[in-house]
Order: sequence, then structure tokens, then C-alpha cells
Amino acid sequence: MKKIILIWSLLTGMFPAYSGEIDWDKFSFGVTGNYQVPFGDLGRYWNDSAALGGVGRYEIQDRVYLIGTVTLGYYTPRNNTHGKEIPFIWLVNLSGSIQYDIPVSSGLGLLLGIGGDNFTFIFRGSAAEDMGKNFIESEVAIHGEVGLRFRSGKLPVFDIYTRYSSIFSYPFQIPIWLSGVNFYF
Amino acid sequence: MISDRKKFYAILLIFYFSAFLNVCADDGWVEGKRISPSLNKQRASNAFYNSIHFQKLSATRFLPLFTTTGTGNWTSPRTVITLDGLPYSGYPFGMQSIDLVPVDLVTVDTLVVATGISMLQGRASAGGSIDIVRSPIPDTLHIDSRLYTGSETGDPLIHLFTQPERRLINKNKVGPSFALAISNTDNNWSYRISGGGFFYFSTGSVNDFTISRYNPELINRQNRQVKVIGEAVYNIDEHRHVDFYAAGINLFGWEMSPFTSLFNHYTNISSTGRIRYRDTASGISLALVRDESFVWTKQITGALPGAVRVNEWTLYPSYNFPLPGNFSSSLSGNVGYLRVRDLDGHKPDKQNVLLQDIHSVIWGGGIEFSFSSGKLFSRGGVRIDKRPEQTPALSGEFLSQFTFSSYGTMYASIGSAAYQPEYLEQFGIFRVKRGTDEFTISGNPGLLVERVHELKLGFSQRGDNVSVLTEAFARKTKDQITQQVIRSFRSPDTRDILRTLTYVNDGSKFVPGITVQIDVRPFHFFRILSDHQYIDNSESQSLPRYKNINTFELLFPLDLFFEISVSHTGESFWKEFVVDVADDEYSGEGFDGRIGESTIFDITVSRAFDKFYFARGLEISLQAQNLFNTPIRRIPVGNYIDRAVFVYLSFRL
Repeated sequence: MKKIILIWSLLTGMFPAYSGEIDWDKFSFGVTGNYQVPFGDLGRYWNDSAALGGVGRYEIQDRVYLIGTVTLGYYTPRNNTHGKEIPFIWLVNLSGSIQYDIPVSSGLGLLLGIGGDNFTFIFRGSAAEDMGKNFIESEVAIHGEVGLRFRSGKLPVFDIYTRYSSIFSYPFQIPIWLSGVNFYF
Repeated sequence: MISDRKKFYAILLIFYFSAFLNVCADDGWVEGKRISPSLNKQRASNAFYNSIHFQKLSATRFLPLFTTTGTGNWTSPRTVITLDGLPYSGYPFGMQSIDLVPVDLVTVDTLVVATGISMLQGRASAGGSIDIVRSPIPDTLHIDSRLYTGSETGDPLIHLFTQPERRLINKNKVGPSFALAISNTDNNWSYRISGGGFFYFSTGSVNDFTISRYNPELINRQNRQVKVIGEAVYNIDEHRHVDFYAAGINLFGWEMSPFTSLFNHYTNISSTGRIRYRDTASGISLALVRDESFVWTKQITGALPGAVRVNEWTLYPSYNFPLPGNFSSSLSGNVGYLRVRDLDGHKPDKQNVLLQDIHSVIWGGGIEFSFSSGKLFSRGGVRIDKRPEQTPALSGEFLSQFTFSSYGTMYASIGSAAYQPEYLEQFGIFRVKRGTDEFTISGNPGLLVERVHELKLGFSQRGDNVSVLTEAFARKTKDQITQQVIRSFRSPDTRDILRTLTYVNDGSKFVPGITVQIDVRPFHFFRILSDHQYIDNSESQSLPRYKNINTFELLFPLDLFFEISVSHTGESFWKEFVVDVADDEYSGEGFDGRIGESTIFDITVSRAFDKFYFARGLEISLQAQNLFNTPIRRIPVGNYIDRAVFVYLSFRL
């Protein structure tokens, strides 16, 4: 609940009532890839995972961006699962953030962002067979992120970032540390 | 010692005396109907309009939820729900709710709530009506949307596998949900396409154990509702219009039907198709409506799956004609065909859910008149209705309203309406086994029409900062349709209450009551809405004697809005769910059929933006329902209202 209040406070408190029309030139799209290191029981029983997907951003003010990403990752059980039957997981991450690009030099910016995620867990494998039709699970999370944005002028604009997401799960939380790269075209 | 009845009449007198002294009025009350602009906002607060309890936001609801006592999450079949003035009948397995009408809040303009008896086009209502009025289709391209997601409790997630000893099953969670409407106008055509997807658990965590024993295949499967709606209006000329409306809704999830009072997993597809021609100059209107519902139940412990199809075709002609002087009048009729079929009852691995199929012509007609002259307004009407396997029944209502000053109005209404039993009460059947014992819930084809007589007296008064509506009502129900329980039993393996019962007409019940609604705005940034209801429930103890809801609204700078609502409900007693000690094989303690007093706190914090980049009318809110997670149920079995926290967003592009 505290996290939902935090999301709401950020969404409503941060913005004065700006107004404007859609400027399609301020949209950019690209691809993203990241390496995901889970903690909690997800880290204890499953291996780290790589994920690939797409990214889009919209510049709402000078150097302030709304970012949306979607990625798909695959989690395999660790070798030692302490005798428990553990399924494979396809993990779909839908993420939205607000990001501030602080200029460091002409071609480099420091990124600071916060946002929310939706993680959809799709359980597969023999361990998931007795779940019947219950094999899909969708969860909400919040995240904070930092990164660097490179504008070389020759290469596409790209970011390297690291993000800490915390999935709301009561009573045990499930954090995931993601580090990756976005390429914008 | 003063008896409860004397206390009741003393309070009634005090309220009426105070009503005479306070010359002020309620601004949402028009000719016996309550129209509130806030009804179509999702807010975490409760209200009631006379006997209709209304919850603007719940963990599962997409439109505000209206309930009358006795049906849990569902509206009583005595309350008629209409879409733009014409009844909707495509509900699955008796689960009547405005949530299951194929329309979405993004296209709803107003909800008009009438309490008590009313004469509607197509049907007389013995228990109030809720009319869902769609917003007009805009002249230019518009995109309206609302999105929300919420909290959860008791979440298993991966812990199903990693911590099986903590294994919880169902979850009280609201998944990411949305609705969208796109509309435009092109020459004589206006059109709008809308739809939405909603994901939730509704049962409350207290029912997890029972559900886990019913069907392990589906214990953890989230409920979902998906709907798609297409609308068009063809404007022939300034006065003549043709409306087209086609919509479908798909429900998939755990619910408790009021007929069985047991959880089951339902798959439902309902649809409606409506064409209406209107000529405002001549007053002629003609509508053709087709409502349809398919519902399938899953196998649960001891009960086989079943399926029902309901479809109804109805033609609604009406004619508004002027009369000399200050009179006006209208004639309306309806003729249709109702078909209810048990789809799988003949199969060996399925169960009968109907004693017999229904193929029946239904018809009705009525005349209404109204008179308006200066400070006096009167209206009245009579109807005759014929429902399946029933003799035609007459209903009538008369209301007179006198405006005695620029601030105050007094009104009186008297009416008598017939409630003709719905198909499950007549022909439904449901069997469930526990061990060698079989329990049967059975309709009764011999049911008589239930008749409700009603008298209402009210003062509606408005001042600059204070408004008060006081109303006294008395309802006498003859041949009330109710459940006659032959055996109740609590099962040790599923912990649910199983009953063998049949529907009967059970004598007469007299329920007098008073309602007071106060709206005080001492400062422009502060408002208190206070609703109270007191009834003499000695003849109908499932209705709580006292209910009140107090809502406090505060408007801060930067259009930051804060609302807290506190609603209190008194104790109620349900003899239909009493379990004797000897029949309680779970705890051995029996169940006394009582629901204790309860208090629920709901809060909303919202901020509105007139324009936010490309969005207009953006509103973002944080809403918490049942803040302190008090275990609350409206009936002794069924859903618990768990705490739920939402983030809600609505806007127009």
C-alpha cells in the first residue's frame, strides 16, 4: 500500500498542470536488452535471465521523458532447488517511467528515473502441470533507475542503465536488478 | 422502558419537525428520482438512496455497485435496471447487476436512481429502478479512457513452489484494467466504439479455503470481464433519429449466484442488440431489443456442471401525446418472447438447472399522465404486465409534489406494484452432494405474484449551504417470495453451508422506515454528506435496523481533492442460513444466522487537470476501500469486502 501511495504521489505531486498537443517528432522507438538478477525466492530458486524487447520514449519537456518498455525473459530453475519441484518461467515485463536526462557533456547525459512495472509470470514445465489453468500470474512493481545516455551523432542514441524493481508480494517481496541497454532509432 | 417501535416513531417525528424548520433542499432529487452527477465517478465511498445501497467503487466493480439487502453483490430482481430507459435482461444465472450490463462508465452520462415503486417502460418495478443513461456521441473525434490497477493480499506467486507450507490460493487483487471509447460524427451519422478488460479477484480471502476445495484447477485463476460495444445514431432530420446499439460482454470467474448461495466458476457471454426510432416532434418511439445470455458453470465438489441460455426479443412502442391545459400523457407497450433453455440437462455428466424450459410470450402496457401548474406537479400511471407462467398483474403509482417556497418541496406518493417471480425462482434447480447426502435448491412453479404496497412522504429542502431530504416510507409486501429451508448443513471438508430449500410465498411483511440525507457545505472547500436510514425491521430482520454513511470532502489548493467515507451498518439476522449445532460438522458450533454491526472506512485522494499535455479532463486518484480491512459481508455467505487500494486514471484525448 505504501508503494501505491508513493506512485500516486509521484504521478500527481511532481507535475504542475502543463498542457500541450502531441508532437510526434518527440517520439522515439527502439530495442532494449537487459540482464536480470533476481533476489528473494526468485533468486534463490531460479537462475539469472536475459531479456529482449522494445522501448519507446516521449519528451514531455526539455530533457524530461516518459519511457515505456516491454521485454520477455526466460528463467530456468537452479540446479539445487532443495528438493522442490520448480517450473520454468517466461517473464513479461511492461514498464513505464519518467526519466530526467541531466547533461554531463555535449554527448553524454546522466539518467535518473522512477516508474512502475507489470510483471507477468508464465509458469511452464512439468512442475507447473498441476496448476491447471492457473499458470499465469500478473504482478505490480515499482522501480528506480540510473543510467547514461550517449549521443555521439554517428551512432543511434543509446542508453546504458541499471534498474531496481520491487515486485509487490505479501509477505515476501521479490526484487529484481536489471542492467541493460536501449537503442533508439 | 420504551419499545423500539416507539423509539422509531419518536425519531420520525423529530426528523419531520426538524425538516419543517430547515428550509433547504436536495439538489439531486427530481420527481421522486435521484440524479447525482457523482454517481458515475468511481470513488471509494458508499451511499444509499432509500433502501438501495450503492457502492461507488469496489474491488471488482466497473460501474458503481448497487445492492439491496438479500442479494450480496447482486441487485434484487425487484429492482429493474434499464439502459436508456429500456430494461436489460441478459444476466447470467440470476446475477443481476449494473456491472453486467454491456456498457462502460466511459460512455455513461448519468445514473438515475428511483427507489420504491415505479412504472417503467416495459415493466413495473416493485423495488426501485436504475437507469443507465449514455452520454451523447460528440460531434468531433474523441477518445475517452480510464485505467486502474490495485493492490493484493495473500499472494502466492512463486511462493506456491518455494514455500508450499504458506500456500494460499485465491487473491484479492485488482489487475491492470482499462476501458476505451472512440467516437466521431460524419454527416448524419454519429458513431462510437468502446470496450474494456477488467481483471480482479472478488471473493475475499476468507473464502479461499472453500474455493480451493471446490475446484483445484481454477483456484488461482483471476476473474476477468471483457466487453465490446458499438453504437451509432443516424439523424434523419432535426426531429427523427435512429439509434443502433450492439454490445457483448464476457465474464469468467468465481462468483456466488443468489439462487444457489454457493460459489461456482462461471463462464458467461451476454449480448444485446437494440434499434430505436424516435420522432421528438410527433412523440412516437419504436424500439426492438434482443438480449441474450449463455452461462456455463464448472464442476465443483459434489455438483455437476450446467448451462443455461436466456434470450428475449421485445418490441417497445410508445407515444407521448399532449392533452389540453397543463396535462400531458404517454402510452407505452411491450410485446416479446422469452426463451430460457437448459442447454446440458439431458447429458449424463451434467446437471439440470431448470425444472422445465420456458417458451413464453411476455407483454405489457401502460398509460402515464402528468400535470404541472405553478407550484404543483403530479404524475401517475397504471400498467399491466404478463410474465412467464403468471396471470397478468396490475400495478399503479401516483406522485404529487408541491413546491411551497423557492427552497422547499414536499411530496407524497402511493403505489402498488406486482413482482412476478423471475425464472430461477419458478423453474431453477440445483443439486449438490456431500458424501451420501444430497441438497437441492428448487424453484417453485406454483409461486404467486408478490405484491408491494408503498406510501412515501418527503420534504426536499435546499438552502445556500445546507440541503436536507427527509423521507418516510412504509412498505407492505404481500405473498413475499422467499426461501423456505428444509435442512441446513455445514460441511467439514469444504466449510460451506449447504441447504435444501424451495421458494415459497411467505405471508406479509410490513416495513416502515425513514431516510434523512443531509448535504452541508460550510465552506467552499469543505462538504459533508450524511445519509441515515432507520427502519422497523421486526418483520424483516435481514434488513439492518440502522444504516448510515457519512462522507467528508475537502478541496485543497491545486485541485487536490480528498474524501473520506465512513459507513455503518447495523446487525441483521438471516433465518435462511441458520445451522443447528447437530448439523455443523465443521466446527460443531452451529451458525446463528447473524451478521454483526460493521463499520467501513473508504478514502479517495484525487487530482484533476483540465489539460495535461494532450489529455483533457485528466483525473488521477488513489482510492482505498475498507481501509482497516474489517471483515465485512452483506449476507452470511458470499464475498467478503477485503481492503483494496487502487490507482485510477481517466482522461479524454
